[in-house]
Amino acid sequence: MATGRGEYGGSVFINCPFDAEYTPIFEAIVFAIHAAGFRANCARERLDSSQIRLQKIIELIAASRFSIHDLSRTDLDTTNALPRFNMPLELGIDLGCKAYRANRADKSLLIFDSEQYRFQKFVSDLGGQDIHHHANDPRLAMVRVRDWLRAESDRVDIPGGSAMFGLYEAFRSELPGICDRLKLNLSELTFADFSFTVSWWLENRPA
Amino acid sequence: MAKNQASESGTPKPAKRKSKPRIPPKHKWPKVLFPTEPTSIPPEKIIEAIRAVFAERKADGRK
Repeated sequence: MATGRGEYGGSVFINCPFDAEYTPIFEAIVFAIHAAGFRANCARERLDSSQIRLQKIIELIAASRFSIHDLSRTDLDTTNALPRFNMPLELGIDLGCKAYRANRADKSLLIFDSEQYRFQKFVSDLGGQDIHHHANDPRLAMVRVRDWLRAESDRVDIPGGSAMFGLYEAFRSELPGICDRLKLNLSELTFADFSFTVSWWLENRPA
Repeated sequence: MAKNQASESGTPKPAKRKSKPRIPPKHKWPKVLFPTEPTSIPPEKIIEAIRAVFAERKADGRK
């Protein structure tokens, strides 16, 4: 079983909404992944538009031992009054990858929803899975990610949730200054830019 | 028997070493894994901006 931190064992795929309202939770999750010593992968990061989006997602899922699937925005679209199915679709691909590929049987999935037991109303087949809720709170989402990575990776060097969130607050307080120097708005940082900023900041922050 | 008093054989007992207070080891954070995907801004620019913020914070701390 691949428990090391190689390309596959150290990668965490994030399947989540990309709207502005979700950004605080998304950024807290990305920070938690890097602070725990893993690498965050997301379909947002690939700029090569020639690659079919679904193909990118399938490759990222297969390349990541850990995945976070957030179903909290599986609600009705305001324009078409239809549910958003991308997140459940990607979760299904991941469950299939784990079930049908022998060398991916050790995959570990963290499934989020905004409220406990809400998923039973729209995807009851997930009944046997452990679904966590983050109540749309970045701190709670971060702690849940930290606890899950700690338990599933058997790594003992992952710090506690409070220490991690304290560090995140320090990072957030410095991020506007970093963006000012880059002449960018916070919202203009791409996923790869944000991820690199988090990694370099964590690695080089003064004691 | 008083401290350092010679034993019956005449050999002085070594002074008891005071044990140092035990300081718990500082927690080491895990080694950071960097993203493999290319950034939209040159990484050197990002590093330069972070360094400038670190330097500013350090200067503020000295005031």
